[in-house]
Amino acid sequence: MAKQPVPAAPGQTGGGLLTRYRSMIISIAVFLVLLTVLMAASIFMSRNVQQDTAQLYAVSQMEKTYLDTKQYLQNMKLYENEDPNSAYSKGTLQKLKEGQAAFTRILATVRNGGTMTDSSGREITVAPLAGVEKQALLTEVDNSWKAISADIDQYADTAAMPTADSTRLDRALLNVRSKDARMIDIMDYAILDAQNTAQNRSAQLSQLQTVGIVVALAYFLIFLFYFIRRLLDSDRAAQAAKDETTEIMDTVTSGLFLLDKDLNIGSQYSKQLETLIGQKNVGGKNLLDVLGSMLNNEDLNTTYSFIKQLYNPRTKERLIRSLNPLTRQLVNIDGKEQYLDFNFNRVYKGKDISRVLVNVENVTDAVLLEQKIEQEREQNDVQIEMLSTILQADRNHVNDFVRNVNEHVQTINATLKDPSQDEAALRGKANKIFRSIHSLKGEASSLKLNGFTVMAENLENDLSRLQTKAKLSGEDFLGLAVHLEELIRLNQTIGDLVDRIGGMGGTQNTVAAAATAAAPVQSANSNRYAAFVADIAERNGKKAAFSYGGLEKTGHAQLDQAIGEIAIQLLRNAVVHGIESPETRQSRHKLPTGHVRMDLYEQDGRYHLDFEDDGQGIDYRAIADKAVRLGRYSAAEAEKLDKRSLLELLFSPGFSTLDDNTDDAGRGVGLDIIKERVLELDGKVKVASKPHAYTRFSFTFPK
Amino acid sequence: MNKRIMIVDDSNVIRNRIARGSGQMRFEVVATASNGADAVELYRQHKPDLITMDLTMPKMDGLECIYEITNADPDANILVISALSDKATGIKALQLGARGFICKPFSDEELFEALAEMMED
Repeated sequence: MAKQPVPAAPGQTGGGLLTRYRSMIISIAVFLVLLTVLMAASIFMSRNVQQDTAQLYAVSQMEKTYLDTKQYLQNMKLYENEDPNSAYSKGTLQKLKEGQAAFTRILATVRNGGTMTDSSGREITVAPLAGVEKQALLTEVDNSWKAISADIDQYADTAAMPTADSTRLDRALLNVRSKDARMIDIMDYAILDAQNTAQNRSAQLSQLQTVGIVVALAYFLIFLFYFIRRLLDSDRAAQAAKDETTEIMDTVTSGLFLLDKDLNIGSQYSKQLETLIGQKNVGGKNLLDVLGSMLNNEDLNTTYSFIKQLYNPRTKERLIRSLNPLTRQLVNIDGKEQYLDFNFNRVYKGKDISRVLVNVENVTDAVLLEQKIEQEREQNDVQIEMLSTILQADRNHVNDFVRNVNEHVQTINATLKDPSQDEAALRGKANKIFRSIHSLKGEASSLKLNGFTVMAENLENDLSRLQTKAKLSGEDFLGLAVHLEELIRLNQTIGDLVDRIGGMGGTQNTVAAAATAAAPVQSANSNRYAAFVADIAERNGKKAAFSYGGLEKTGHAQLDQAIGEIAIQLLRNAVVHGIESPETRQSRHKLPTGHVRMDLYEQDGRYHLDFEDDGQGIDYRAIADKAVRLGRYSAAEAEKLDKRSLLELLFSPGFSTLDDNTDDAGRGVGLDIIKERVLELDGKVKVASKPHAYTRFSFTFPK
Repeated sequence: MNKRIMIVDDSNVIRNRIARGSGQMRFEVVATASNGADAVELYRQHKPDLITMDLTMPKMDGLECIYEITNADPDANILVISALSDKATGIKALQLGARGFICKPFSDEELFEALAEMMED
């Protein structure tokens, strides 16, 4: 039962109030009118009563005066024989005259109205006796009195004289006696009538007052009852409305709340809000305080500025939504990472922006789905790239690569599981893993498996960070797992792809089968090396020709694998470090295209592996400088190092003469891998070099 | 009377796109500028009903330009059309007096809606 909103035009806010309380105002007005009428009637009637009282007093006084006057007249008769000049006689006569005058005056007042003094000396107004009949009776009294009065006058004129005539007194008495009964009757009647009238009016007044009080009371009670009911009704309606809001707020699945200008959260907000933001009782709190634990200061400031702009009536709400900083907001709620969207909507009151309605939604699923789709898209891109690479590459080499990766991963896992935790052991671990990854990167690069190369590089970066860290702990290695995991998955994918392609061909069914297949592919290795050299040369702005001589393979799996790894490192070194840029070569009177040669042959019961380039030779000066830069020797010490010691340095871990890390060189790994392989296989290596002429690495391995 | 519009963007391509959109909505393009300094001067001359404003421009950037224009005319009606590098910069533009913001790249529909909304009072 929602209340109809009262339309309130600006400047007319009182209108609503008047409408809302109209019935109450009318009721009060009616009540006041009723009271006024009652009071007026009461005043009017009590004035009548007063008048009646005055009349009653006047007629009573009239009869009393008459009786007194009659008494004085009789007294005069009784003491007729006394000295008319005695004090008593004179006093009585005087009283008689006064009584006569008083009666005449009172009678006139009763007949025609007038003022007189009441018993307590107050002047009262007497209205003329109403009614024709009563006036006629009064006229009769008046006529009788006039006759009596005339007799009294005649008597009184002579009474004080010694020649007083008693007959005048007698006549007056006679006259009085003859009229007395009638006069008294009439006056009694008048008194009775006045009494009755006064009593009636009094009764009426008290009746009116009683009825008035009863009516007023009844009206008041009705009024009270009516308004209490209305109050209860409106309370009930308000409660119902509040209940509805509460139900909505409890049920709605997003976080709803209102925000005022100062960014305080309203008292009513949806229950879900507490779950979404992981905080309770946020009503009345400031939004920035609530968000404080989730956002950094910069984001908080941006949020504050954005909401302020929502309250700026000049900006267009729809056209500033793209600036909302709280979209796809990553927050940590009770240890779980969630993405939240905060949507802001202006709430208008009339034309003013009164508040902002905020709707918080958990969009984690949507965001994760988007990320997954994006990831899959990327993975698909990588797979397609891989597929095209694998289709172009020699399958045996890819198989070798997959197997090699698996072996290295096993080595890495074994290294990681090694329980030794001291600083030196941990550094050793990091270096060992780095060498494995670097070697794999080289092979991937030679097969142009770019996706794999990028992942290997990510791992290398992780490891570089470990290597430069002041203090290592076992924990630090945990971070590697993610990238290693990626690498393993990708290797799996490559294996699967090769498998399927092989399946189509019907010759090789599994990676394992491919790996053990002895069928040699003619000059596949040499082709791969040639492609690798060409690729690196192109990337480094060099020109290099590659030639290969002798055996493709020794047939000894472990040795062939080592030869592959050595070839990749040394061919890369030859192009990157050895062969000069075409311009430099020309300035040194050399052909712009450099030459790299690789030979594998069997002689004197041993395998020989030679690499030779016609580049600038080994730059011993650069090695010494780098050793100083790396802080391994002081400048003075480096000065004294012989070539052999400098070559030793070149074969040590973490040493490269290039300062920039590139895909192809500069990571300080390469020759140390070779050293490791050679030692593993009980081989030997010789290095020969001439400045601006050549560099040659010659390996011998026992059969 | 046709509504009058001024387009400020250092990219010729974007200027033409906005001009084409404005034309389709029967707005009259009274001026275009490729940098903030020109824009301030052209605004003074033409007093258009609406300005579309890029934020990154040579000579005088969009933020400074908005500041200059709204300083001279607080009722200037400015819609920022810019790549959204960070939201704080966009909000800064609003604080300086811009009224709306759309993001590059934008669709024709977005442009039409934004222009229409900016022209409402």
